[in-house]
Amino acid sequence: MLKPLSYKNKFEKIYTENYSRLYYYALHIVGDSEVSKDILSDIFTRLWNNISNVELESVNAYLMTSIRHRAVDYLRRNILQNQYSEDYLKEATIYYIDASEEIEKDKLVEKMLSQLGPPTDKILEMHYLQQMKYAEVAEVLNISPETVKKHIMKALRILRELYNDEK
Amino acid sequence: MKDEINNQLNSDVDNTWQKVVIRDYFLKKAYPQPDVLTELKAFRKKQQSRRKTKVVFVSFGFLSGIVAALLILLFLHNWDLTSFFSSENRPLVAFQTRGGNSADEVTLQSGSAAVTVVGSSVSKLAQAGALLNAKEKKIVYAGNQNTAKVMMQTLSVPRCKTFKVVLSDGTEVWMNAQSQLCYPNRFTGKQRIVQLQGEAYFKVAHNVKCPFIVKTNQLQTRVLGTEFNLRSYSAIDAHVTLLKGSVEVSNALGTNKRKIKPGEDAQLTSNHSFVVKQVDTEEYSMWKDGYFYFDNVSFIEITQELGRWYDVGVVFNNRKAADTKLFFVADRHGSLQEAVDMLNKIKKVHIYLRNNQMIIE
Repeated sequence: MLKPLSYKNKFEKIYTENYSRLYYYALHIVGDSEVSKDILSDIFTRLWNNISNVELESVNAYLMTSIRHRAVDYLRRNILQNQYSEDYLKEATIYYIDASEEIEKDKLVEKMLSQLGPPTDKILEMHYLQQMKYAEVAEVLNISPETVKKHIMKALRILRELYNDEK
Repeated sequence: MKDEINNQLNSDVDNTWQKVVIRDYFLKKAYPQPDVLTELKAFRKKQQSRRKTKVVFVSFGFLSGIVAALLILLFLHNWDLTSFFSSENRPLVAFQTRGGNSADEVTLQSGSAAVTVVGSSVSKLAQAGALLNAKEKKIVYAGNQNTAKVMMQTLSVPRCKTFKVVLSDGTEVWMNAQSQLCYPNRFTGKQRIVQLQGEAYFKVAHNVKCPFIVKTNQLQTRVLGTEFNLRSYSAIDAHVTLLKGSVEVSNALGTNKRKIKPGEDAQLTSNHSFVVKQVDTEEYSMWKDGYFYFDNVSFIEITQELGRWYDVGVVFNNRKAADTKLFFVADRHGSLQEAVDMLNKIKKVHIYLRNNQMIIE
């Protein structure tokens, strides 16, 4: 029931080093800040209860898997349809596995947006952040769904090209 | 052309990582980094309360163990973990300023051109069929509407300011501080759709054939013609308050819908459903007439509103004061110091200003 201080330190190290990254991972899937924090709270509770068996080398994989299960489960129960394909979830998991990846690629998005300018930024935000469908974005902006699609496809292409240039 | 077709064909196969990266980019813009240390403290507190209940249920066979454990717990509590476990004495940060992009003027983005509204950029506005009245602090979309090119307009209102816009259909929108409205210079199609961040009061022009829809990140409000206030500064504070007519609110996913009547307020909860209750609608609409108006509202909510308007942080050193309920009315055009002086007169707390923060003792 009571754990030695060394466990407490070990736990805190894991918590502070990983919380932010794991929060965005959960948020990416569920799209709700409070729900993401609840999921993290549950998973860290389980981690704390098993802290004596936790190995630092494998803890990240364990946390990521748990979050993914819980987040997808939340979508299934509350949102009725799971919006993400297996491939997408796999890609997201790889992306959030270490923080350096995120920082580097976020910069590419910034570069891409500055190249394309409005209204691509608004379109991408509505489609990828608010998860509005092409037709919904089209209606808000008073353009055709085909135009929305073209903007998005171009953005994805430019992003890939920027990435290939860096390599 | 051929390349383009190839790109389209390949798009479903290898575009996944770009989608992940773009969603991540916008998520980080929309949701601030969590405060990890605060989260850790909250987590510790929760663990501690669980542990206490567990101790109660341990059987008597372990009595000696329990005594030892309790002694250690007391010891730890006094010597090591006090700062960790007890948040009672810690300041409560009730509101943080956004910092960074704190423009001080109302701005309008029309198509790809951005103009500052309080100025003389009338010609640029005219292209979109808009008339600016800087004195009355409003923009009116009127005139040769049917021929004007359709352009998206994004109106941003900074702290300490309100602004009014009359849309092309005659709908009036009063916008509160730190808010943004996105709308076309003229409506086409079967629906009138606008997007809001922050707070606005809508007086929607009646048109049965063409519903008016306000979208926010959290919810959607659909109306035919009516007056209502929509407040959506954050996910935990999304309200639609109806004064006249009838509206239907739904969450962003469209999984939950609710009709509300005049005098009712619908608040979106964290599980995406609505709590509807009767409210004093004055409270939700007095802001557009230039007042802070609070009737039986907790101190924390009042100070959060002041913080948002004057763009200052709010810190409670006296946590007990946060839930005290007050009646408080003040002029929005006065200074923050004046509002603080008035609150201090109530003599329940002492408030002072330091380093762009309101500190409540």
